[in-house]
Amino acid sequence: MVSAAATAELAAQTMLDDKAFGPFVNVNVTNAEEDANSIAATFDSVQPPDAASDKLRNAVDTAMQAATSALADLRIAVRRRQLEEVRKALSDLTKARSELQKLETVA
Amino acid sequence: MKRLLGVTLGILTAIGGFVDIGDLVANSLTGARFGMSLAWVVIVGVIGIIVFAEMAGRVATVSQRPVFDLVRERLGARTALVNLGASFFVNFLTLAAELGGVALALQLATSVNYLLWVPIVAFLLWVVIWHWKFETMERVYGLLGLALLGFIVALWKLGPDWSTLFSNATHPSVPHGEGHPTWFYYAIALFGAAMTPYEVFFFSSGAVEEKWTTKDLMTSRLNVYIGFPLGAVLSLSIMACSAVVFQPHGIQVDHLGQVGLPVSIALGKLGLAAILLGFFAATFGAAIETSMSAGYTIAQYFGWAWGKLVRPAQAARYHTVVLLTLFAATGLALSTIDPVKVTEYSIVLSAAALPLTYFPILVVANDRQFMGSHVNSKFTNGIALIYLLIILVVSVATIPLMLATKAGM
Repeated sequence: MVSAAATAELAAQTMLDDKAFGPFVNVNVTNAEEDANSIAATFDSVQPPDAASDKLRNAVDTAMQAATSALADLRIAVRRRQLEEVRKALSDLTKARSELQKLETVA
Repeated sequence: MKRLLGVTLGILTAIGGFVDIGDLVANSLTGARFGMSLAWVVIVGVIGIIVFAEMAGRVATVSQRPVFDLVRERLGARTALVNLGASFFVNFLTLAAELGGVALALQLATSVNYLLWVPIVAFLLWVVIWHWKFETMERVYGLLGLALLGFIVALWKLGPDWSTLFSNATHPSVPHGEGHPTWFYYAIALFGAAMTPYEVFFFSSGAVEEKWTTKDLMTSRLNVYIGFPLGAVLSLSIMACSAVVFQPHGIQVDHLGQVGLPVSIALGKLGLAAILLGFFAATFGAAIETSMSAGYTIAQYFGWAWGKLVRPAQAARYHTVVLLTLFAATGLALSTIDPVKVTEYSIVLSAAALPLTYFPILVVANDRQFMGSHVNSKFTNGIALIYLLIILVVSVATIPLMLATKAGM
């Protein structure tokens, strides 16, 4: 998930810096979103081993939802070439990724 | 000038063979995950393919007989049939991966889903193989593939800490958090990507098609000694770009689009355009090689007329095999199976199947009856035997490592 989010961030940044073509950024962000959705779906299908794990599961799930939502917003903004929206989604995605990285350390 | 143009066969083989979808993915993937700690495998691989291709080119040039003709004669019809089956299967997987690779490169340039590009690419491929001259194919795709040199420029522009990169490459160790089995599995993948058998089928059959004689041995060697090292430099620069850009962010490479990101970051749109052109040329060139290699291996085993220079009516079975293989590979590529996954499996299985073609060539290269005074020198035999040992170890270790690591997971 962190990998997908970081890839999308790099791709979106190249668009903001006018260093990449729209289709190239679109494909990278779309692939990242699909990967993130697949990881989130796999994670959701795993049964938590005990009640104590529920708290961690909820925290990870919330962070993943934030990341997948930001990736969807980013994909929409990239396809519409709305640079301001790309900036906003990129900021949300960076926050969600930082949260996921913190949880990785906890886990 | 003529000799310089002759070297394009080696450049095509190197760009379309050494640097194909397998190398693009494997080098970027390993660079992102293991830094430069597997750079040594690229060096081992390039020396191996130089030894292998030089022997195969020399054997084809001197005996005027290509690889599979000699494999059958040396191993006998039954053993060679097993050999043919394994080599053809790996070649087929590689062709499907290359078709997917060309389509993915076009998707990156247009945003149109790669599945829509696959049939168009397959048709274009058939048109090129059917209508273009051998030399035109070599030169167009070999030279367009040089656009991949953008990776070297990008690496320089990224301004990495060269001493750290060099130290990481020369003091290989398993990175923290990774296991030895996974590290070795990816080492095998890189080795397989460097030493894909179709490169040798194509190179040696190409030598026969171009009617090389013993006078052309120097051209053959120049092809090998310039083309493959050039491919290795490109491979290392792809790996280094990934190590510099992706490893600090913990990014894993799963898509062809990611491979181009470091160039886009470093060089902007112009560099990106060059790299996308390079992706197209390298994968299309490799698709030409694998399509033709499918026809070469089967036609040479059965003793049919083969080659682009033979009129289609006289080599109908060769052309039919090429066309049917292309159809089947298109079907596999259209099955929505991930082309990058097909690539990963094809390069690992290439490593497992290597002894099947390497050993017979080594034997023939030492046979004075075929080679006369052009048999292997003691020096060549020394290196070739070391590589035989490496190839055997890799071949035996591949499947257990694949199962133990769940294909590098």
